[in-house]
Amino acid sequence: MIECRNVSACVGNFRLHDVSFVIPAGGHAVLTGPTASGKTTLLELIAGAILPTSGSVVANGMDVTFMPPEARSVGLVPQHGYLFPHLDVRQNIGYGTADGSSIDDLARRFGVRHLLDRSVASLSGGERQLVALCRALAAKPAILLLDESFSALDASRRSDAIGEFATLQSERRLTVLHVSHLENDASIATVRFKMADGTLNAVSTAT
Amino acid sequence: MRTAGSKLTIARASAWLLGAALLLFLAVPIILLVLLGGAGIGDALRDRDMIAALETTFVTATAATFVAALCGSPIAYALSRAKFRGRALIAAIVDLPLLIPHPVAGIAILLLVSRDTPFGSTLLDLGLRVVGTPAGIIAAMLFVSAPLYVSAAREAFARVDKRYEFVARTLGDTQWSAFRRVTLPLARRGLASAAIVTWARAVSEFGAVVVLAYNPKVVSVLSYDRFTTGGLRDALPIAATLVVISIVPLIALRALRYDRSNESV
Repeated sequence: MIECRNVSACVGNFRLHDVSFVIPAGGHAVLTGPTASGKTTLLELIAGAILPTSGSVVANGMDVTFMPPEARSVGLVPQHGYLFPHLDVRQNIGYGTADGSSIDDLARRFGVRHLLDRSVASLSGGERQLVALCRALAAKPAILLLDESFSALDASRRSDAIGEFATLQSERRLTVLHVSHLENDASIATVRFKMADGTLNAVSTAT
Repeated sequence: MRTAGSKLTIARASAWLLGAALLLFLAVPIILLVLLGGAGIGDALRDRDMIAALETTFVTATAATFVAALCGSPIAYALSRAKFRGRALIAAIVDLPLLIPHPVAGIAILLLVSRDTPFGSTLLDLGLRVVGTPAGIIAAMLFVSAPLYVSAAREAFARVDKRYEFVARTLGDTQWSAFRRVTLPLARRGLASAAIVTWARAVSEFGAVVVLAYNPKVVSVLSYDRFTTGGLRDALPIAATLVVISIVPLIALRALRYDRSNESV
């Protein structure tokens, strides 16, 4: 589970104001909101890149507010992938795991197995997103934060990837916070949040 | 009355002329040196004093570069990434040697390491004599070239988006491990360029070296020595050899920059 308790933060001139929410273990929350409303900042705060000025972050029942990112068991799939350019696709997916078999398994499930020996520079935007997703999943985090992680895929491939992701999430009982603008992504949400001007101003439970 | 078009043409021609004049001023003396002294390079490379000076220069410049990289990389990384109190002061201290005339830098180091100073006498007690030894040459080279390393390495680290490090940490890396596995490999070309510039600067250093260690002679000191004792004719082959040696790192730098322009980080 992920819980934010009255979290405020300041990044340059931007501020997150008193954000509170809970996503139960195995839940899939979709977070929407206009550009520069604070969605990515919230993800980075939960993952440990930004420290809050007040409030606390709880992950799997443990207060992780001031823990380093590597101690949180929180994975992140950034919007642009941030694949390591000095490593090939296989090395990228295997970056956070010693289990070589999971690399092939994840690559097969998300349709990127044929890319494993390729340089990341040769990948399309959508392929980059899928490889970044596989890389985060290979590290087996308890919580996964997705930042527009399917946005560069065409409709058919996005639908397949979301379906596969939903299956895998259910198998692992993975808790997910998913920033997205796409209605299709919201189809697997159990909770929906909306952000505006650094404030979480609407919460609804999906039916 | 002149038209706007003709004014622009005159301005453009003047700019070209001024630029060309500077380029000629930079290139012609070096070309003349190589042309007039080039024939003597073969003989110079058989000269015992020259061979000894080349050995001393390579060894001391390489040692100075190694120390600059070892001690300068953490400073460069901190300056490129962290925001902390005293950051501006550290940056100013690192840049300070660039503003000091090099013989003055030599005198300043001498004040620290000569046998009459507490630090110098402690070093002597430990068996390390600095003045008039390769250690003194390394100290002089390090003083004048380390700022170049820190500045170039800082840029190399700054070019690596810090989000790569953060993503590595969400995948289980500690800060050190993310630096070692991600930042260092991504900055490697920039760091290699920094080391080459540092090495080239160390090889060509004269002012600070001559104050701390006239002997054993490095190539720059040997060329000066030959100039003062035998005139231009004796100094030319050695000076031409030094120029040729300096061209090697320049070519390496260009190769690295060409390589980097074909790679995206």
